Amino acid sequence: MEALLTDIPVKEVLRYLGHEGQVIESGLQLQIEKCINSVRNSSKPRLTYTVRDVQDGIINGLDLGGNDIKLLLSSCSQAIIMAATLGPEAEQMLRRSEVMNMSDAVIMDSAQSTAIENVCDNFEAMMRQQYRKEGLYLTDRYSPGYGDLPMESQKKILDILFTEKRIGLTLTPSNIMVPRKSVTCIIGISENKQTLKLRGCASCTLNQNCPYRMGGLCHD
Amino acid sequence: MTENKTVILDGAMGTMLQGRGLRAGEKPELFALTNPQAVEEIQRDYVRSGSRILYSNTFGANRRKLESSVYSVSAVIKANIDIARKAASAVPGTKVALDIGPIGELLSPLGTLSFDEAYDIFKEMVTSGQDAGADLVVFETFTDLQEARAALLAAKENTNLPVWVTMSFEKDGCTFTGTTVPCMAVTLQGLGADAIGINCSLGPEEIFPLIKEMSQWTDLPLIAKPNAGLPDPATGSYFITPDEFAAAMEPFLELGVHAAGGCCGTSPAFIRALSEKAAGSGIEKKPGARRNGVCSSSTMAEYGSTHLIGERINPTGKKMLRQALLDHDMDYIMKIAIQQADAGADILDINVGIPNIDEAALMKEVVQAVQSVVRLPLMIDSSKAEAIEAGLRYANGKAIINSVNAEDSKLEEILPIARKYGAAVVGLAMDRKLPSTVEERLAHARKITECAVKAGIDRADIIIDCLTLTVSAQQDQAPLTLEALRRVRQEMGLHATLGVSNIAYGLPDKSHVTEAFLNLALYNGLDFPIINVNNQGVMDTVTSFRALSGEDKGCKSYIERFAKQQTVVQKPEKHSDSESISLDEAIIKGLGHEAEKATEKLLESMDAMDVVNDRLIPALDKVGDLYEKHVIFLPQLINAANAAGRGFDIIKKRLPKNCDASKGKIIIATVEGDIHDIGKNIVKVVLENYGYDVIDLGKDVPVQTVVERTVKENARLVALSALMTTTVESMKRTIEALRQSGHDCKVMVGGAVLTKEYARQIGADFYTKDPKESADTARRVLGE
Repeated sequence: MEALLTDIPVKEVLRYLGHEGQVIESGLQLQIEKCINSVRNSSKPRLTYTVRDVQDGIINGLDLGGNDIKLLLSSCSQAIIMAATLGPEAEQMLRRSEVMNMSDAVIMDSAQSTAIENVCDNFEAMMRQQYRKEGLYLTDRYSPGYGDLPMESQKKILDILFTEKRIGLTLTPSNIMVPRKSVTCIIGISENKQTLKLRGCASCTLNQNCPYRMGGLCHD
Repeated sequence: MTENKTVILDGAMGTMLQGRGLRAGEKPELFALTNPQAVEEIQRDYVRSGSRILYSNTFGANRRKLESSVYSVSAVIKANIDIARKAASAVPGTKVALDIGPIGELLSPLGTLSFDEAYDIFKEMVTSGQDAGADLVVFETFTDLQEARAALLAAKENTNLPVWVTMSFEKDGCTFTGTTVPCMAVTLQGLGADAIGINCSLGPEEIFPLIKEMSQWTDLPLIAKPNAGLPDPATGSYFITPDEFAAAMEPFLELGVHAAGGCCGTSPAFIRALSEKAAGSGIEKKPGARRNGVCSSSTMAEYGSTHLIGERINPTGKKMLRQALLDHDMDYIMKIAIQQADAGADILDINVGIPNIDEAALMKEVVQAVQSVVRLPLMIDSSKAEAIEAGLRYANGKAIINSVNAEDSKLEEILPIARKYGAAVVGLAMDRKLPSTVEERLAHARKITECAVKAGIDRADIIIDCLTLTVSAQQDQAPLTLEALRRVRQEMGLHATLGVSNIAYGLPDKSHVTEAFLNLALYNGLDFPIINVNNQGVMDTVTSFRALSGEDKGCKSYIERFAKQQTVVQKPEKHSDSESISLDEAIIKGLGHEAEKATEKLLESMDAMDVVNDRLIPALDKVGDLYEKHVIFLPQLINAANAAGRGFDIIKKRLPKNCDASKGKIIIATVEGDIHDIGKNIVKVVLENYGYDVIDLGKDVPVQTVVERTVKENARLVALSALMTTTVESMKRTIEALRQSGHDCKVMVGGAVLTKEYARQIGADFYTKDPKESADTARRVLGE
């Protein structure tokens, strides 16, 4: 499936920047638009996924640890495991702007976070639509770092998806994904309508001091 | 390898092993130790199907991937080579290749794995493979040219086996890290690969146009090992049949590829079908002139047109750059690199020659920093052989050496280095003394060419510098330089370079004579001008020349450049409206140009230090206050800090030389293992613009480096950043090491996962939640 980057909404970018309604003068407005454009032009999103059977909330051949994921998948018979990245070009562009103009870099960083979320949203929407036709429902996306799903599970996800070979996504020894603007997630597939909401700040390990909370919630 | 038929390789191993009980997550390489029979059977099957080179089951047998295993790298490699050897013995003459894939971590600057570590990991594998009796080494599925370079060097420097390298490309002709087919071909041929090609990622149909392109850029034997078409995205399974695969491989055989096989999704049945198809075909690779040039991993400067070499990374006569090199201030150097790339440079010259420094180490550092932000080919400029070698070793792609001359000792010293790394080389048309005639220059050029070709360097990779001598001192020489240049190009058919700016030395308003000389030199065939690309007149000249010479098709660049300049001209008017704005207001609004103007105005009536203390700092404080009260947000804070910084730069220029405006030194670093440095960089910008002397050690900084630099600089404040729970641990170790060193300093920490309490637990003196707090903390520790 093609990774699609369709939109980098200014509103989202501002939220990542901690914007709380401060006046944005025309110079800054232009700067933000310019940065979003550069991000759009330098992003080469790629994604890969697989669908695995689930038994008693555990994905076949992929025990990730933690209880929250079991809860999420409790009524699911299958799960989608997905990884997406914006690619190294985006990262090099960010590095250049960090050298040349730090405020551009900060805005681009937020725009890139928005962009990779958009790629995931598009993927999720396409999957939801596809499975809906078969009468199936999807859970929310769930990622390492949410709730008690350990960061260490990242490696297992990347391994099972062969992300290095398929989309050029690797992990450093300290479990940082490279390229950095990358996301992995699990989405359960169920016959039942899903009501459990596990996204959002309450279930996030960063909830005490997440910088994005200053400007509202990171997932609404 | 002199057979005139395509050599048949094997097909997939991993999927075949899964069919024989390999579980998901289990390492295929270890199957040789737990289940040798299964591996041997598969490989026997491949030999029966026609494989004449077996790839050993050692793709991931590197020390990183075997870390958790009880077996050593050499044991795993030996076991697998032995099995392949047994399987190969079924048909005499069947060879065993030591198969090596990428390490699985990205090299810096993207990842944290260094070039030298990667080299070392490959070295262990290739020496084990040679000891185990492999007939050749195959590096496959690489996507990063720099990693492939490390691998190839490790094999060439530590074994005497033939080395093949194949990389994996996407449909757009680039690998994941942006390596292009021409850049791969030119770089790896230069570096001594024995055969190159493409494997994995795509099926035969998608790979064929890429391998065809590759054949234009190399005269090495080619290798193709495609997947069985493209897989189903959800299941990863492949659909095409062995016969379809073999049919799709036919164009490869017609093209004359030296070796062909299959990758993911293929099986012995595919190899059998391919082998039958190949039986009737013979290799008829037509030798033709190959395309060539110098390159980075993604940008090719192909011979045949004009390529501008940016001259600005050279400390001669540049005080600020010299200081930046001494301070290892890579940001400053990266800035110059980016500016030149943006201004239109095609190649960047890198010269770090300062007396009494370790030039080789500095060359390595600068080359790596520069190529982390620009994608241009590099020219390694030094008079020292060690520095040249260091530059070439770490420069990704195929670089240019600047330079050798016609002295025997120079040629003997430098040419073997050029040959080893496959670099192009600039030959100065001189020996111990400068030439004074055209003939002398040509004689030197001939000698250099003869020696270079004898040393194994392609004639196409020789660039002659006929020497620009200063017109104010040696007026008779300019026409001679130009005439020699013309003959070097026309009669000898070599490339030519000139350090164009030299012409004007000592003359007023240098631009006129420089531009005129450049025009004449270009007209006489100068194809590698070394120039100041930041100079508008020089670039206007080049743009005009390219339009006149026809290089600029349809005058597109000309129109783009000059249409753009017309709009730029209007800009100053906008500034003049706001000239009367106060420094305070300019900073708060984040207007850099206005802040400079206001600072200059204040300096007419105020003492420089007073401007800092009574205007700049209070304005910044006001900004910090507005940020704290959420009246402005992060980009506005940084824009304000940048505006203050531009004012501060004006002041620094006015201060007497012995007067230090610095408010104290601060060491700043993102800790070992962590590569998130945007937060650190924000804090750095703010602290710098408060007037602190910030020494930035970068990201993923080893504990020991932080301690050493802190002690060496005698810094009283250290700022550490970590974004991940996993790396806060190394923050703790860094703080402990700082304490153990006995050096008296305070440590402030920041980063998303930290809290005040957490910071206290790991022994930090201060937790700073945002850039404003870090500035407040700096003030507390270092004073106003």
